[in-house]
Amino acid sequence: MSAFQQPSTSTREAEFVRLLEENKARIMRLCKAYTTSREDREDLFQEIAVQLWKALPGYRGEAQVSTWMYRIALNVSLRFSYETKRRKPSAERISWIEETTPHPHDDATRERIEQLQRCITSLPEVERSVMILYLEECSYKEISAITGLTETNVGVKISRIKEKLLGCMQRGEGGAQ
Amino acid sequence: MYANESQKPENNDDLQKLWQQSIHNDSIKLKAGQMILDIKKEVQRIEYIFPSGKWSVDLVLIFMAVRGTVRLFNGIEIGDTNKIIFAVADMIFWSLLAVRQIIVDINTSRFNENNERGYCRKQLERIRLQIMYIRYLSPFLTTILTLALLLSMWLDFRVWWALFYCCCIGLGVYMEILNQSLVKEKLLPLRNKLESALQQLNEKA
Repeated sequence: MSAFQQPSTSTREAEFVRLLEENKARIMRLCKAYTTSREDREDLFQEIAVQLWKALPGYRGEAQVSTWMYRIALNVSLRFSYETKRRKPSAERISWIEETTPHPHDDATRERIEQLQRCITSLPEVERSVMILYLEECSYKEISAITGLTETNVGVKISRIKEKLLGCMQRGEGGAQ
Repeated sequence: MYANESQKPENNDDLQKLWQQSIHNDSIKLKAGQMILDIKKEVQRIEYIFPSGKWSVDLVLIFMAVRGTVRLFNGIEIGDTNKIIFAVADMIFWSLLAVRQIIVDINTSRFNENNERGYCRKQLERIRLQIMYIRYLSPFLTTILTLALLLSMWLDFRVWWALFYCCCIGLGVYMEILNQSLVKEKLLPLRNKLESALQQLNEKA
């Protein structure tokens, strides 16, 4: 039995908060790749948190927590990216997320980061999800488990997408954020 | 060679480092207490959009208990034919609810949710069944319930009880209208988006 399946509600809440605190940057990076505005990003973050909370009692520890979390987060992001209308006014939904000033980077690094994000956002959904998992340092095995692609297919896709991404960055392309 | 520093080609590690530098854990603050409260509210909202069927069973149970109590204290004898009509109406209602729940469970349990396509297929199936239930089964159930209520009103006629039954019928009709608007506003757009997502996933896999 994993800690998430403990009957106590407070234990479940504490485990959930810990999980989210440890992975909030990863989730937010994923959200940024699937949305174009800050409001949408925070809405998606909340949607992922809700689905993680719902799925928590069913987590049996068979996969790594990170694999399980990415699987849910990516599924929610994919669904979210197809939804044109937001379901609820964001003013009510983002009250518990606060994005503070990011670490100071020099101008060149900041520009490269922004360009990478733009190029990632311009990728088709499936390629984007594979690339995000790769950039988050997931193994081919984990990417395969999350996306349902074979490990060989993951390897082939990653090298193709990487070429595409590097080309995009060198040319300074990518849709506006 | 490159117009500026930012156009230098990256290697794999650089890309991963750059990506992970974009947002840090300490650049996001979560208000944990508020978050848990909001999430619980949101889960309740989702359960309302995709009702499990349990709440309607609860409502029917309450209605049947109230109706039984009314009969008991009014001391009204009803004929065997009417008893049979009530029994048949109740049996149809309960059977349809049970069958609906079993169909949903069987049809959605065969999907493997461990990948994006499986997840999309499962959600799509849930939505299709939900639309079918709201469009075809739910009006049928409401009609049965309304007829049973009208019959009760006729058999146990008292002004106050008639008013009570009218309120029940009104509530049933209101819920039916609400359900129908739910299909139009939430479920159909969601179904279209999921179908489009699944099509793209199938094409690109």
